[in-house]
Amino acid sequence: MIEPVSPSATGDMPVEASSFFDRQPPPQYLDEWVHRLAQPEEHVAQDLLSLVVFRLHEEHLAVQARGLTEVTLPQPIHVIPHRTNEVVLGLVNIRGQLRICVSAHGMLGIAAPASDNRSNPNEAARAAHGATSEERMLILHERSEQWVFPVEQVLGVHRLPSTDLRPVPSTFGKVAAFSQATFTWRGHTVGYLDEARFLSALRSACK
Amino acid sequence: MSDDLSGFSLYELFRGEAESQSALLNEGILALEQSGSSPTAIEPLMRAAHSLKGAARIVGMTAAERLAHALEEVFVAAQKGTRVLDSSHVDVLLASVDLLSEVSRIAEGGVDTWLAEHGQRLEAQIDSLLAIEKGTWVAPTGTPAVASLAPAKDPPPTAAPVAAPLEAIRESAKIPAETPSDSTSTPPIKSAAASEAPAEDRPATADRSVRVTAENLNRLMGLAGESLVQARQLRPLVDGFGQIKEAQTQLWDRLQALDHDLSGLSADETERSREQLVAAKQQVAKCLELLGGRMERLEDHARRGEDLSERLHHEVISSRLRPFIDGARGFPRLVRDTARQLGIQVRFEIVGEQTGVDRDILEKLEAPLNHLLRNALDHGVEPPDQRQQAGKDAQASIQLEARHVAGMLQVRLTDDGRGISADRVRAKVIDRGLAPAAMATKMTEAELFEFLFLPGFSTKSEVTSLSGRGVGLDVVQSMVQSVGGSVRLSSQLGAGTCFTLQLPITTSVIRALIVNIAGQPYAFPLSRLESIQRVDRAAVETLEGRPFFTLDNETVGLVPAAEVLDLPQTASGTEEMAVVVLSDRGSRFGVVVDEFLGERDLDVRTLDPRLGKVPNISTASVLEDGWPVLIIDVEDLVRSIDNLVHGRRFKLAAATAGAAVASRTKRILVVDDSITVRELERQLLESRGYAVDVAVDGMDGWNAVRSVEYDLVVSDVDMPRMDGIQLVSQIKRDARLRTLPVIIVSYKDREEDRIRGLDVGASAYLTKSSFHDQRFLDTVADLIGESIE
Repeated sequence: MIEPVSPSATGDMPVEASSFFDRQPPPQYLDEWVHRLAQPEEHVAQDLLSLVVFRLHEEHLAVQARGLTEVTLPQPIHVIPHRTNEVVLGLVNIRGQLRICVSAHGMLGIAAPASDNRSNPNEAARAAHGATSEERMLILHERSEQWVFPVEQVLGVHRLPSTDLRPVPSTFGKVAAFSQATFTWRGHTVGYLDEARFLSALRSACK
Repeated sequence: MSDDLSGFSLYELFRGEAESQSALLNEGILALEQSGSSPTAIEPLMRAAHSLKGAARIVGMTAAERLAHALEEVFVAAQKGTRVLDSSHVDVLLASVDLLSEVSRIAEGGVDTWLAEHGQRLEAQIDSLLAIEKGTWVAPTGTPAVASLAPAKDPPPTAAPVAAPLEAIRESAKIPAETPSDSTSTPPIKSAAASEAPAEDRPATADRSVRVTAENLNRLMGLAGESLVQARQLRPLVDGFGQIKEAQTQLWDRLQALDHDLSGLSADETERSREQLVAAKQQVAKCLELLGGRMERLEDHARRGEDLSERLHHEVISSRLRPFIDGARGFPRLVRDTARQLGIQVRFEIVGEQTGVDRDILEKLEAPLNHLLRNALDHGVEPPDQRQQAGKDAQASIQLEARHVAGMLQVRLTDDGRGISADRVRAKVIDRGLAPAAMATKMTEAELFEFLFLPGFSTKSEVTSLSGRGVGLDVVQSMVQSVGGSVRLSSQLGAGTCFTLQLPITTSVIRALIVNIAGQPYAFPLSRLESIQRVDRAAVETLEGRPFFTLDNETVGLVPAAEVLDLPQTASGTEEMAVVVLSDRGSRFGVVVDEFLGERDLDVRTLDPRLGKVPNISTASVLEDGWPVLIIDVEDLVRSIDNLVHGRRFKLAAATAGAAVASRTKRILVVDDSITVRELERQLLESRGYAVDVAVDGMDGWNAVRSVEYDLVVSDVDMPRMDGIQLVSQIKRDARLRTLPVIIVSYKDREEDRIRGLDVGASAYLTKSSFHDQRFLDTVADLIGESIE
């Protein structure tokens, strides 16, 4: 390993080292870089969307990564009397803060997972401690508002140019109402959620 | 500048300093008046004025700087003994301090506008101060001619709180305190030197404080709670290690046994097996030793972690507490000024200054106490000559005491004034028709005094004849109730009056009973429950289809908690039922829960505002195992049970919609917190054929109007949780409900109350006396017609 040495110190270096640092660059090296740097910058970066892809039952959906606060292991959900319904599931404890937990399934008309642990707290508690399942909770934020909802699987962050987005087909069911576009990812059609519409619908469901 | 303050502008810092120094000046000046102007009493005042002058110069507030300078000059003269300060001087000094805090509150950049408006006032104030300093000042003739309150000669036995050298002074001592160049006469060199004296020389009686936003503190509290949860989760892990150790010990025993068995065989047969066995035994021994050592360390770590987290949690929670005096600093001044204005003599004493009070409660406490103090001065304390005639000390005594009693904060305000005549209250009650004469004569004093808290029970002109209580006591009561407290009044005619406020020490931690309902944890605040019982199923009887059991020879109706909360009911096979007994305003119920889980201290979190008011639930918290727990709103729960049991709960949308279509009967919602009024209105309306639902307060009413379609709402004004005015404005703001007519029916019959009600959109405003004639029913008919279309 060669220790990094500042140019001013070369005077004190052994001959071998100074000849290594002072050697001529290979031919065309400079030309190659000049050519490369002269190329106009590609503008992909600007249109590149960063989306978190997740799965609800058999539907694949995505939200913008920057609207996502975090992904956690499932936490026990406490039912809220008179308020819990198909959309509002209850309260969850996320790092000591009590947050409203909602059901994206209920909102989008997607069947809830078979291993529904909402009514069975012990199931949920076990799920909270054993990380074997792929179920997670997504926490979205809009300004200071936080929304927590369980998903069956988080498939990772996908970056794609906005040109790859396609309009929402009308056959997309209730999901269509809350999607702004779709795209194809690993052979699945993924609904790209319109966060504003989705969150505002959640908001009115809480009332 | 430290990080803590980086978020504040210099100007904000100045404002903060001006606030604390003004408080200090106020206290100190009052103390001067009480106990005479000794040099030691004046010194902190000189320092405070001087520091303020320096701070004002830093932010370029010339007005404040000059005023502080003039104040300082007066103190310097007083300290040197060249000037003796009397009460009229003190008036000027106090007014100057007021002006100083007024100046410091001017918005940044608004100084010029302020000066244009109030410049003259400022100049006059500075002139007066300088005149006092020069000895040329003459008290204006308007000032009450009170003799100079003899300084030092006759100090009252209990002096007003002497100004404590606050840490603020120490902090401000760091501000460059150069001698002002413009003061030629008496350069305050000495005071500057004093303020630069090493801080260690001065006793620190008050702690340094740092400004933290409430939101920040709440997050800290959440994290501290969570860290406790995490630390406690190490415990089961440690226990898990114990099981491994146990398993290894068994393995060791097994090897020992095998060794023993093998020893019975001949040597060459077992040579190889023995070698293996020895190796295995060595291995196990090593494992055991390793595990033992590690386990000890883990246990140690877990214990320390838990201990640390508990302390952190405790500390964060107690950081919300502030000394009681923080909310009472303005009172000595208030008493002094009001007493002087009224020409009465009062000795005011605050006991329990350091009693810890939650900052939220302290904030809410200030206005009611202020009100009660004014009341005591205005109507409780007699003029000196009257007092002497009655054989009392000419100087009245008012005491404000704060202390912790049985986990609650108790604040008492006691005066030795004229007291309240129970007989006059009784006469008033009968006169106003609030209770039949026969009943009123049987009422105890305590019961009679309850009427004083009724809104508008007495008006100003009646006040004096009633020894002056009642003005705005309803406001005091509702403020105290809003933080979960209560207020009591006791009085002895001629001897004085005592108000006792009972409040939670903090809104952030409560002691609660944790129970399981429908498989999930819920909490009942201990302060709100009567008892818990285990009731044998065999002891349950039924009456009119409702189960009940007998407790202390009284029947107590049983209601499953899950039914009230609208949760799935879990069948329980146990012989005994876990019952929480609750009572509120005379109703007593047994709420059946799945099981008791024990008592805990919970740090209370408000529910997410997006949920609105959740029926029967007040707040939430997190249990040790990380589970969220909902805290029951007992008052609301009892109301819900009451409705459920008496079968008059407003039915929800589907059912009523059908009924309404079938018969076209007009449906009216009656909202009132008094069961008597509610029932009266219901009966009146039902007698006319209207369908009537009832709601017990504004919030209940608001929930009802949104779920059922009504033709009319009849509402009271003064109700807990949401008052009638709020209810009406909510209805008028709602696009769907805007056209729903509302009649307000109230005890309040003043014109401004009427206007206030009509202003927010009520269709009519009636007083409760309208029940006696046809006016109430006529108004209803005018608005929505007869009951059936």
